[in-house]
Amino acid sequence: MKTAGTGFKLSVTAVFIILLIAGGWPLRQHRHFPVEIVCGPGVTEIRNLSDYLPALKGTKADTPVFILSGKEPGGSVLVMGNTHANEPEGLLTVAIMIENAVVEKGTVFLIPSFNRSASLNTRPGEGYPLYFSIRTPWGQKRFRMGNRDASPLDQWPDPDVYIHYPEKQMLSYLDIRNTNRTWPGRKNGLPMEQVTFAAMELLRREQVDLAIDLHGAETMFPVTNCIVAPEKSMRIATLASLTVKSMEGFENHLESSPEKFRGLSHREIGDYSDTLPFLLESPIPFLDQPTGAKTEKLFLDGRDEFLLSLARKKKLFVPYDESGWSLDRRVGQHLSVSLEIIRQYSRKTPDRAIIIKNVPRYSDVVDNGTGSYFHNPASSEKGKVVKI
Amino acid sequence: MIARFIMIAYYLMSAFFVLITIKNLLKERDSRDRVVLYLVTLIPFILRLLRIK
Repeated sequence: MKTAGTGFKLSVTAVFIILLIAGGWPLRQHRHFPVEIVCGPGVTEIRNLSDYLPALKGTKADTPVFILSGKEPGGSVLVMGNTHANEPEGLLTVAIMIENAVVEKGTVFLIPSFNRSASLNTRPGEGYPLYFSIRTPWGQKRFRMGNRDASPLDQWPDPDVYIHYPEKQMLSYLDIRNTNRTWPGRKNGLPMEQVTFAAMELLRREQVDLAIDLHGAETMFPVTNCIVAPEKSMRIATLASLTVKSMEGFENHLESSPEKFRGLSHREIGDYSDTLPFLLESPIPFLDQPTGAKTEKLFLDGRDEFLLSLARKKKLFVPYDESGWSLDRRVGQHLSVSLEIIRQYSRKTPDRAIIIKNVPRYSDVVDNGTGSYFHNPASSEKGKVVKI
Repeated sequence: MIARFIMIAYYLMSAFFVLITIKNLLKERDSRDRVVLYLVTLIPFILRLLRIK
């Protein structure tokens, strides 16, 4: 038998250190990679979620809140992206609003990276890329690809069973780090419960009329390509769904928020505040299980031969052909449906109207590309660039 | 509060396991397989201690 001499130990340790650095360095870089957003002409103030719950201050769970106030008073809306950071269509949608929107009436609150800790988390076990880039007129803009749940570096340990507060429903242990299971949150809870509690405080203190939570879902999951709304939001959601279908030519069906499934934004925001909640799902082929490799290309163009084969066997819940389901379509849908919800609410309650200009709609984004609505941070005023 | 205490305790435990694994690694004379095993075992503890993963 060969013995483990000093020479052997030194050489394997050297290989081990090289492997540790090669594997660990990209993960460290990802956790510290800044995504830059350029404040557009409509941004009037930037706060943090910790302004609504100081316990979040200085933690990785704290996240910027961009405020766009109109000259005329009116209603208000909160739009959240990256509740699940592996569904970054929401982040891009909110970032486009921050960089371009001008509010004439009312107030718009925008949180691009709602679960910021999840955006610093990775999913190497399923081969997710660490980043994705989109083409802009001034070059490639790079974003972190996050995970569904907050990083265990920021919230750990997980319980054996997660008992939702305050409804006491038993949920999967993993959902204690999922900010779409911890609503309405609690002040002295775990960090992700504090994130949703802070957002509830924002909604209550600022008397926000509408809350829109942007997501994406698998094409094989029935709750995809839709607006999820509770009873109190259903009328507005129905009008928005019908309008985008007739005026802009894309489907976005309605799903009713289940009363007995707790912790979700579309349920708890409505039950624990006066705000009308909506959750938007766009189809992300990248998230489906039976696809090829989880590449950046699959994320961007949504084209996959295995899904195409399943579509021919009618196993998908959305129309799917060789053109896939591109990022531009997904972002465009989120923008149009969000704007339509706001418009329908404004028509119904003119005294609480919210009027937003200069935000592209579905056909604009599909024609011009998502990247064409981003500004170059390098050539923008330093004070206007925010790292998230 | 309890979660924070457990998290701190976990970091201390990780540091302890790193130290005893390195000690065993240095003491190992007979088996090359065990040397490799000790090094592989160290990976998750080191990544956590460095707050990488």
